[in-house]
Amino acid sequence: MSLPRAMVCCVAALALMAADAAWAHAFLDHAEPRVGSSVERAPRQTTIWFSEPVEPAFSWVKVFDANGKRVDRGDKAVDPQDASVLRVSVPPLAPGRYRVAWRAVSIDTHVTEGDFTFEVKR
Amino acid sequence: MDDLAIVRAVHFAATIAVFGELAYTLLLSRGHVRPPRFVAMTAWSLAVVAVSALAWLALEARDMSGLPLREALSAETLDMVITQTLFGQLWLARMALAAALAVALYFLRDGSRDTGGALALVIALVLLATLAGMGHAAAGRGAARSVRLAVDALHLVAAGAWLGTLPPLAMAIGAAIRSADADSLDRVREATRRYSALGIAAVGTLIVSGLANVSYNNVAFTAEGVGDLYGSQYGHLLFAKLALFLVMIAFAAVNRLRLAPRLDAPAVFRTLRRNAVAELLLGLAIVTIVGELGITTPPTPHAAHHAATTPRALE
Repeated sequence: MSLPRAMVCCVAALALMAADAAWAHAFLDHAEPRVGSSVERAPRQTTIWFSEPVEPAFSWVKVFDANGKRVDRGDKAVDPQDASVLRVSVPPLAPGRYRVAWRAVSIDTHVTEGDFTFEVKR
Repeated sequence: MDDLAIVRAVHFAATIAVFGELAYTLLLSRGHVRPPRFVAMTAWSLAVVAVSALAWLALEARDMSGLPLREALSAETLDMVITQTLFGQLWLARMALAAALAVALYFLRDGSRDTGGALALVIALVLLATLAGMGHAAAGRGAARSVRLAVDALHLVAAGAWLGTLPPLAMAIGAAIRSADADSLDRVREATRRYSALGIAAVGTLIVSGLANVSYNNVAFTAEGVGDLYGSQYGHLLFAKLALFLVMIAFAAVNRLRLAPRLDAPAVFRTLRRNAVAELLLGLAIVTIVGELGITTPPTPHAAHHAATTPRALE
C-alpha cells in the first residue's frame, strides 16, 4: 500500500473512532416533574429532556388533568440553548394526578410519542 | 416497504445516476467523450430527482405534522417544514442545486463546450453528498455530528461513483461492440481500466465509512451488538445490504482479475457488459434497501436499554 493511501486509511480509521454515536430518534431521557413522581409543590412548568435535538415547529408537550382536561398554557418551546429540551408552562395546579403527553420530531425527521403521569400532593 | 422509503430510494437512485453520467464523462472517458445517450440520461435522471424531491417533501410534511396527506399539503404546513426544520432548509438548498445543475446541463447539451462539465460534476457531487443531512447522520449535535455527516457524505459519494458510472460504462461497451470500431473498443478498454481503479478506491471507502456509520447508530461490534442487530428490522436490512455488497464485490473482482486483462475478443466485452448490468441491478437493490434503512430505528443496545429502564427514568 502506498504512503498516501495508507494515510487516507488511517484518517478514515480515526474518523471511525472519533465520533460519538447518536440515537437517531428522540426518546425521552428524563423529565421534570419526574416520570411517575409525586411532587410536594405544584410545578410551574413541565420540562422534557430528549435523547436528540428536536424540531420546535412540530414537537409539542401537553398536560392534562385526571378528567382529561388540558391544563397547560399552550406555550410549548424548545430551550434556545439546547434543542433537546422542550417545556411548557402550567398555571398553579391543584392536587391530583396529571398526564403529560408529548410528541417529538427529531432533527433527522423521526417521530416519537409518549406520555407519563405525575402527582401533585396536598 | 412504506411510501417514504420508496420515494427516498428513487431519489437516491436518480441523484446517483446524474452524478455517475458526469463522473464517467469527466473521469473515466478518455478525451471526455460522452457515453451514449448522455443528454437523455442526465435530463431524465434530473427530472426524477426533482419529482421525487417534491414527493419526499410532501410525505415528510405528512409525517412531521401528523396530519393526513391532503391537509399536510397546505401552504402553511409546507412553509413550516421548509423554513423551520433542518430537513426543509436542506431540501430547499438541494432544490436550488438541482436547478443550477439543470442550467449547467442545458448549456452543455450540444457538446460543444467542455468547460462547464467540471462545474456540473461538482454540483452533482454536492447534490449527492448532501443526502447525508437527510438521514441518521443528521442526528445529534456538535463536532461529533459534523464528523458523522462527513463520513456519511463520503459513503454516498463512493457509492455514487461505483454505481452511477455503471450505466454509462455498460452503454459505452454496448455501443463499442456494435460498432466494432477499433478506436471505440480501445476507449472502452481504457474506461474499464479506470473504472477498476475507481472501484477499488470506492469499495475501500464504502467499507470503512459503512462500518463507521453503523457504529454511530449505537451498534457495538461485539457478540451482543450483533445479537441486537439480528433481532431487529434495522439489522435485517443491514445484513441484506451487506450480502448484496459482497456479491457486487465478487462480480467486480471477476471483472478486474479475469476479464479486464483479456479485453480483446468481442465475447469478453459482452461478458463484461453483462456483469456490469448484473452489478447495476445489485446496486439498485442496495439503494432500495437504503431507502428503508435510513428511516428505520436502529436497535437500542442491551446496555443502554437496561439503563433506560432503571431508576433514572422513574425518579
